[in-house]
Amino acid sequence: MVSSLPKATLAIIETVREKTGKGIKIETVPNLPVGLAKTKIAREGMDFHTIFLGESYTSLAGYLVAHECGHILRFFAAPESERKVPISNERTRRIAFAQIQKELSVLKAMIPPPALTELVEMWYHGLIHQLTSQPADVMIERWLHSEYPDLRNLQRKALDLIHKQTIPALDSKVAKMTPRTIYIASMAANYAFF
Amino acid sequence: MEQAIALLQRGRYAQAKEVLERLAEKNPDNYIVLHNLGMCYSDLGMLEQAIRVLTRVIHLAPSFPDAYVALGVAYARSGQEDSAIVALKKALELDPRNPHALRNLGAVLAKRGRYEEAIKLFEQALKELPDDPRTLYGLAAAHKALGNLDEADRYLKRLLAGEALPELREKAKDLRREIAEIEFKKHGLRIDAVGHCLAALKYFANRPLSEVKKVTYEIAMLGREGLDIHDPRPKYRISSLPGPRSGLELLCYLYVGMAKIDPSVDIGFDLSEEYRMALALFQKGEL
Repeated sequence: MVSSLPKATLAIIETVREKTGKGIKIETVPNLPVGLAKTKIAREGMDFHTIFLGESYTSLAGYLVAHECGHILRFFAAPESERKVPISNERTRRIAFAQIQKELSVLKAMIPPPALTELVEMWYHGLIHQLTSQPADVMIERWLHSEYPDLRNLQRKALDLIHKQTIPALDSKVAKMTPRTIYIASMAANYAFF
Repeated sequence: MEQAIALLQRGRYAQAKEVLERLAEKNPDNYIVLHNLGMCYSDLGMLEQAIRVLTRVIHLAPSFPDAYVALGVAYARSGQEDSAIVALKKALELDPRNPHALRNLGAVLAKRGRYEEAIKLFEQALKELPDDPRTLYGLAAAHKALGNLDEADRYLKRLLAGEALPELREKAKDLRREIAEIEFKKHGLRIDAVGHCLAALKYFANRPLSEVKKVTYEIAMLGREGLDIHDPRPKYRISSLPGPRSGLELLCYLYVGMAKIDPSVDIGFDLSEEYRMALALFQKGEL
């Protein structure tokens, strides 16, 4: 459960309400496919933007909510005609999988098919997340750090946690069990982020 | 020139641009070449260049209505709506029944919230080009904005029954979904949807995530063609769920499944209130 939020976070939530005309609803969920928190931006006809927090990370809610509000504010700062969200569909999946076809055929010898299917999904969505979210994340972290010094402690803790979760990916075993195309792209994005 | 037009028709704008630029260099006063080059720039998002070239076309051929239409479109795309309106009105002065001028002027006026005027223009355009998908879409969007939902849906059905580019078809389907959502929410919280969400929560409760994904993605694929959520009859069958199901039932399974897979994904239909109530009942173990 999210008990109370720091004043700085409440101020950011208020800014979201002012700029978008819609409030924020916070929900904790057992798990998220990637990351510690995610946001569903309200469309026309929806009363709230919803921020989902992984239930293991509610102690970082003050920072996570502020960060997700950063994504909402960035989205609404763009002119309406330029408010786009990235999508993936069958066509993009086919293109992506075609690019790693050869690498997957090598991995098939090492990883049982059901597990490989799960892994491929995880790699695909993980890389999309890195590609579409991390550039904005960098800007949001910088904004939070400079404009909301009261959140810096929580920000530090959260970034340390994300960093810690990322380190195991550097293990050579992980590298061997991941298509090289994906591994290099993902590690490069992480390197740039941290 | 024929080569450039063939490339434009196939949507290969970058290649067409190169051909047209070469032609324009050799024929700097040929307004047909420049007109096509201007439209090509416009379609490539090179709007400054488009406006410059199309303004030149107007100097060369001041009575050529299509040049004003293309210029109006380029202005509209670059956010210069006042200039777009002037150019499109000029096109209509020269050719009052020009369907492209009528449609594009309608679109600019609709963007400004002048929906009644836009509808009149779209209707005139439709008389000239019956079943033009873009005009049908414009009419539907304007009617939706005015709250004429039945009318809007009628135009969208007509659009989807005909031939339209895939991108426009997707937009039309999205708009139909929005209309369905507005109709659905007219009467407040839907207890039938709460019931379906609760059933879905129970169904997914002890199943692995891979199975939840299978059901959810199968419904999502089916839903791309549109689920009729107003008909309560169980008329849909999918391989990953037993028995025939109604459209609303499947929509609820989709919402609940996606909430388990990635709650931040917007399925295009908001069932958050119904889901929240179902979740509360599920957690209490009721029903």
